[in-house]
This record gives sequence, C-alpha cells and structure tokens, in this order.
Amino acid sequence: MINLDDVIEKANITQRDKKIIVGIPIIIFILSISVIALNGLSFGTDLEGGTMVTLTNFTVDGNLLQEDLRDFYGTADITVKSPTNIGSGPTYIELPSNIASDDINDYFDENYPGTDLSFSVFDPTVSNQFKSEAMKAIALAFVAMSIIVFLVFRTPLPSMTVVLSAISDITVTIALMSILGINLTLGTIAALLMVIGYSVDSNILLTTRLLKRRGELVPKVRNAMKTGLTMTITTLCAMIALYLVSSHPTLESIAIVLIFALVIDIMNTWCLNTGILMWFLEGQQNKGIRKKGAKR
Amino acid sequence: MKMPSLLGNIRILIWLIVVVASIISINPSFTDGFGTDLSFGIEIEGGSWINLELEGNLVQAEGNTANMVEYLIEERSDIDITFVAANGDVFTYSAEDLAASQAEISNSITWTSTKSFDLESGTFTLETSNNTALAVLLQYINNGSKVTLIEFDGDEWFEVRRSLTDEEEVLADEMSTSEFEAYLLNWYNESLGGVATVTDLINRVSPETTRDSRDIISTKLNYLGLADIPVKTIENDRYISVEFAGVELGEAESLVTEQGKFEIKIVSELAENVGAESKYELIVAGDEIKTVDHYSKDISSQQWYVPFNLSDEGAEAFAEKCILYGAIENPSEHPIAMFLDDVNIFEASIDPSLAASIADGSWQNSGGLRATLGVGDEAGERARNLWIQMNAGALPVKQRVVTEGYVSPTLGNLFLKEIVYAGVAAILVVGLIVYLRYKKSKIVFPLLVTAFSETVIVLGVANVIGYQLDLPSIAGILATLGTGVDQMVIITDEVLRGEGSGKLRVSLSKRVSRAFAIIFASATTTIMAMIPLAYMQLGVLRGFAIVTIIGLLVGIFITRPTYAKVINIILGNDKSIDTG
Repeated sequence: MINLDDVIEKANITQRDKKIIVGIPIIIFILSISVIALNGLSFGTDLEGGTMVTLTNFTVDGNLLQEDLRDFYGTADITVKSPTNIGSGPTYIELPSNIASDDINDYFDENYPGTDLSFSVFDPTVSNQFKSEAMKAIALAFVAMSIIVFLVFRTPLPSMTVVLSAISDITVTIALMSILGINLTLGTIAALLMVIGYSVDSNILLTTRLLKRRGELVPKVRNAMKTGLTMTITTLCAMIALYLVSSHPTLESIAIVLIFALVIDIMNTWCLNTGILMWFLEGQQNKGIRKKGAKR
Repeated sequence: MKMPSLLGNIRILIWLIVVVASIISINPSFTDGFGTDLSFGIEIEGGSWINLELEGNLVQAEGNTANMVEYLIEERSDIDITFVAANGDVFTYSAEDLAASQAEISNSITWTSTKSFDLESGTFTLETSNNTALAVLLQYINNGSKVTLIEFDGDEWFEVRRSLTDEEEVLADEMSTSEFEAYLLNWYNESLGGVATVTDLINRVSPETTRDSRDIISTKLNYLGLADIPVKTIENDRYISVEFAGVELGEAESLVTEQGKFEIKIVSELAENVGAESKYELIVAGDEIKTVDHYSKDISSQQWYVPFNLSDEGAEAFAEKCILYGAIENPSEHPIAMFLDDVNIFEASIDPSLAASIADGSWQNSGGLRATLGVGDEAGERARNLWIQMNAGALPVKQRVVTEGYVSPTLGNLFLKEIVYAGVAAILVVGLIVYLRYKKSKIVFPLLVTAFSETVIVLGVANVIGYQLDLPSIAGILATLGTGVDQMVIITDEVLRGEGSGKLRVSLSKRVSRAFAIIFASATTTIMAMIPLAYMQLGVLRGFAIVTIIGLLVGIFITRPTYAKVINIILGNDKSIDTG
C-alpha cells in the first residue's frame, strides 16, 4: 500500500530547486494560454446555439447514424457520439438549431422505431447571451475571490500566489479541454467554478500553515502537504467514481473536468505556490537576520 | 461510546434537530418504490420546457422637438413647412397656402395636445412635449410599432415593440449580444437621418411587458384546464419560461402558441325572466376583434376600462344584434357578455349614449368600444384581468422561442439513478481513503456521517425554501460534499497534530480554532466567489451558486462545529475545550 508520508518524502519538495518547481507550472500555464489562443474553445449547444438530441433505448453504431443523418439533412454539421459500449448509455446528436425537433422525431419514428428521444434546443441569440454572462460571472467570481484572499493574508505576494494558482488551475484545465475537444457548456462552467472552491481550499490551507504558524519551514510544508493531498485525493477519487458511474453527459463532463483540475491543482499548490512561498519566507528570514545584525 | 456526553452537547443537539427536521421535510417514503417530497427540475422529472423572448427594443433618444415635429409633418403630409417660433412646448410653423393644406397637416399631427391654425397669417401652432415627439418619431421609423415611455433600472426608456426582420434574425444569431445591439443602434440612427439620435439601446422589452405576457400565457393555460403549469419570467423579467411536466415538446409548443376561444355574446333572455340560466346569442367571435388596447382609467369619470376595436364586419354584426335582441330599448335586460373558452368573464349593459347612437345610425366603428369595470383599485385589478383574458387569444408582442427542450422520463430517471449511485460510490471511496490515511474507524465513521448529514441538510433547506433541484444545483450539492470532506480533513489533522509533537505542542482548543481559521477563510472566499453568480441574470448557474452557498453556510455553522466536537470527544480529549 502506498503511504502518503513516503510519497511526500520522495517528492521532497522543500529541497528541490525553486526555479524548477516554480518554473515548470509557469511554463505550463503560459503554454496553456497559447494552446487556448491557437486551438480555440469549443462550446456546447447551450452556449453556441443548436439542438442536442439524446437517444435512449438505441443500440445502433453512432458512425452509421451520423452518415445517415448527414445524408438525410444534407449538412456535415451533425455529430453523433455513442457510448463506448453500444447500448450501455445514451447516444448524443448535435445538430444546427434550424432542424425542427418534429422532423427529428419523424426521422426516428420511421427509421428506428421505439427509440426514446430527448431534446434541448438553443437559439444562437440566447446562447450568445448565456456565453457572455457566463464569462462575466467567472470574471466577477475571480475578483470577489481575490479581494477576500487579500483581506485574509494582507501580504501582496502570498495573496497573489493563491489567486494565480486558481487562475492557472482553470486555464490549464480549459487548455486540456480544448485539446481533447471537451465542450464548454453550462455544466462544465459550473465545474470550473467548483475548481475555484477546491483550489482555494488547498491553497489557503498551505498559505495559512506557512505564514501564520510558528516552527521550522520544512516540517510545516510537509504537514500541510499531508493534509492538502488527503483533501485533494479524496475529492479526486470521488470524481473518478462519478466518472465511472455516469453516462449522463452533464455528470460525465463535470467529473472529467474536475479530475483534470484537481490533478493540476496538486501541481499548482505543491510546486508553484509552495515554491513561491518558501522563496518569500526565506527572503523575509534573511532580511530579519540582517536587521538583527545591524542593530547589534 | 459516550452517548450521554455526545447528546448533552448543545452543538450536537442542534445538529441532530436540524438533521431530523431535514429528513421530515424531505419525507422519504418506501411504499411505492423510493419517493421523496423533493421537487426536481423538468430535466429530472421528464417533460418539456420552453423559454420565450418578446421582440422589441428599449431605446434612449434625444432630439430637438421643433426639428422632429417639422420632420414628422413633412414626411406624413408631404407639405413643406417652415419653423417660425418656439415658446416652451408650444411651436409655431408656417406653410404656403395653409388653407389648402390645413386638412393634411392636421391629419399628420393627431398626436399633439393642442393645435390651432391661423389662416390669415399662414401659420399654425401646436403643443407637444419632447418625449411625445420622440415617441411618435420612433413609431414612425418602425412602421407604426407601438412605442411607450417606461421606466427601467431607474431610467426612462422608450419601449419599441418592433419585430425582427428575417435578415435581422440571421444577424442576431451570428453576432454577439453587444454587436447586435450596436447594429440596431446604428440602424435607428440611420433611419432617423439626424433628426434625432438614439444614444442607448437594449435589445429587450420592458419587464412590465414580459410580466403581462406571462400572465396572458398563464391565463390561457388555465382556461385550457392546465392550472399546474408553471409560467414564470426569468433573467430579470427578460424571458418567459414555461414548464410542462410529462408533456411532449410538440404538444407543449402548440399549447403555448394556441389561441384561446374568445367570443362576445348578447343575453337574449335574462335569467330573472326565464327562471333558469340566461340565454346567450353569439355576436362575434374572437377573430373579429382587431385590437385590444392596454387597460386604463378614464380621467374624468375615474372609471377603469379596457378599450378594444372590432373589425368593420364585427361592428356591423354588433349593431345589428343589439337592435335585434332589444338591447337598444332595454339595455339592462340584454347585457353584452364576453366568453373565454366558454367561461363568462365579463357582462355589462351597453351605455345609453352608445345605444342611442346605434339606434339613430350615427355610431361609427372607428371610435372603438370600451369594457368599463367601475371605480377604485379593485376595479383596476379587474380591468387588468379582463385585459389579460381578452388578450389570451394572442400576445400583444411578437414572441420567439429562444430555448426549448424535452426530457423523456427514461433519461430523467437515468440521471437521478446515476446521481444516487455516484453519491454512494463517492462516500464509500472517501471512507476508504480516510481510513487508509488515519487507520482509525472511529474517525472515518463520524466523518462520513457528518458528510452525509450535510447533504441531507442542504436538501432539507432547499425543500423548505421551495427550491426546485435542477442539474446545476445537484452539481452544487456535489461541490459542497467535496469541500465538506476537505474541511473535515483539515480539522482532523489539526486535532491529531498536537499528539506528541513535543515542544510545539499547542492546546486542543487552540488547534481547533486554528482549523476553523482556515475553514472560515476558504469558505468565505468561495461564498464571495459564488455571490456574483447568485445575483447574475444567468438563471442557469444561479441554482449552482445558491446551493453551494447554502452548503458552505450549513458546513461552517452546523456540521463542522459538530464534527470538531465529536472528534474531540471520541479521541478522549474533551476536557480541555468546551468553548472553542
């Protein structure tokens, strides 16, 4: 059985070169920004407009259905996603919003009778509205979070580090979503906002333990790490369980986004944030020693 | 374990009471399979949802009154006029050969409060306010769409009930909201050609208009016998949302767009005279009613009324039937009644002066008819209701479906089942990890019970405040379960840390309060991050934010203190703290 103490011992974060433990997350953060800029984001039907059809009671291969539907409606703008094991979960179709739901109903009645259909239709106008409001909400959430963090710690650098970790968690997660083609939807945005909560939990724990407690730096980091990793791992495993259990698109995408974000949060909290904080505290210590020396 | 000391503690007692109250509120039952009193959103229950938007713009505009009046007269009458003088809201213009053009000019300024022609000097004078001139101008460039001055967010705006053209609908789909609003603003200013300037524009109708339309839809559904269909406005009264549990989308669409059956009838034999129910004869059906104007109060008589206009054929039938059934000679014996889906919604005798003018043939349809409801606030309320019922045939503003959907009960059940499985799996996995970490089942058990109780309390609170659980709010419950476990790990570690760590040993109460310092900081931060979302117009994520905030508050005030207490008692360290 893997022991958490051994893992922390092996990671030996306090003895590593700070340039590396801070540098790598920063490079990943910058790379993520460029990935998002180059690759762009893909939005779900709720944020871009379109129709999402969910088929239950349906056991036909998704590729065949996609071909058929594209032929039938004469547009390549139709995607079908099947569950990995056909029949083990719902099949999803994304279509442009101008195809009427009645039409689709008729198509399935005729070709695949007995299929159980669910729809969600989003007009692009209102989706645009949702999108801009969702972006505003995320921005406002960050501003509110930053203000509180500054009020709690009252020192600029450590506070900025907590905020940077949260921003980086979300940015890198969005970059991964961009690479893997996971859509930004209202569901995944909810997941990204949960990331703020989890990120703040682990980073405030670390910063409080290092800044506000007395004692040697190295054991403080190790103890904080033990608590923090337990927290993240429990949530991570709960999300893996959710991912394995769910076939519902919203649940599945929330689970996968949180799994990414939590792994990234481990890096950002225990490398980036820890590195910067240790550097900051050692700097303060040195200053303190110099001051004492000067007095004598 | 030490049950008496557990139950004797006030915090644990409060926790227990809240948990029990929550369970009572949720009211789980096993009689018919597993069931609860929780109310779920349509995406879980199964059914259809439709969100409508009403087409129109709110605009702020400014312009010189004299210029606007001149422009309007020239455009409408095709006669050149010259501005002479202005005195406050009174404007004087001159025109060549005024005697010849007087009629046309007069017809083009029906909207001014006064007008007078001085044929000798060749001038005419009229009185109008800046806002009236702007409203008429906005109406003119929008092909007669209704324009009203309304208040929105503390400012005055003109509401223009303008429908989008086909090309504009395409643009609206392609552009972002702000781009499209900029496009419309530009369209207005080009159409105004410099006579006035639109300074601000929002592509929506007023909250009042949306609420009126909501009531019209709701009334219509009521008359169709669908009283339980929730019709509400969302996103700051911008959209109307209708949810039909267990109804397929096509049927839901036709229910929303279907017109109610509206009829005007006349009493041929009054109940008092025939001894049974009054007998009615049809005068006109709803399609002969051309317009129903907004209900209002007569300034001189203080009577509330709903004005409406019949088509010419309708007016003819109205006069004919009134004469035929004797409403002219004996109005009180032959009242006029209105029916919506065969339900009598209004009945009154025709006014003697109206009867007289019908009798001598001088009645003209152009003036329209009024359904008068009397004096006072209560009559005003009835006027509004009647107006809504008369409109149940059609909404006063063009509507557009912005989002709609249907969730089959199979899919909804699948979702709920997966949520429950995931919850159970998550609690088991968390339990296993916590056990591996602390190797003490006496820590694992209280932690899991507390975590589970927190979910129960959040569900209970949601149920008490009548909150409908939709997908985002269930995601919020998962989020709080996660942060809840995180925070309990922080407490456990702080409490355990003191055990035998030598010279740095701190008192237990101090350790617990340290843990709470961290928990408070992180919970406050997350709550603050969620507050903008809870207040944002984006209703879809609001549920997520609200449930997360409830969860965090329940956590820091009820479940976390309880867990800290229990863990202290269990680890046998209780003596040192009682207040911490």
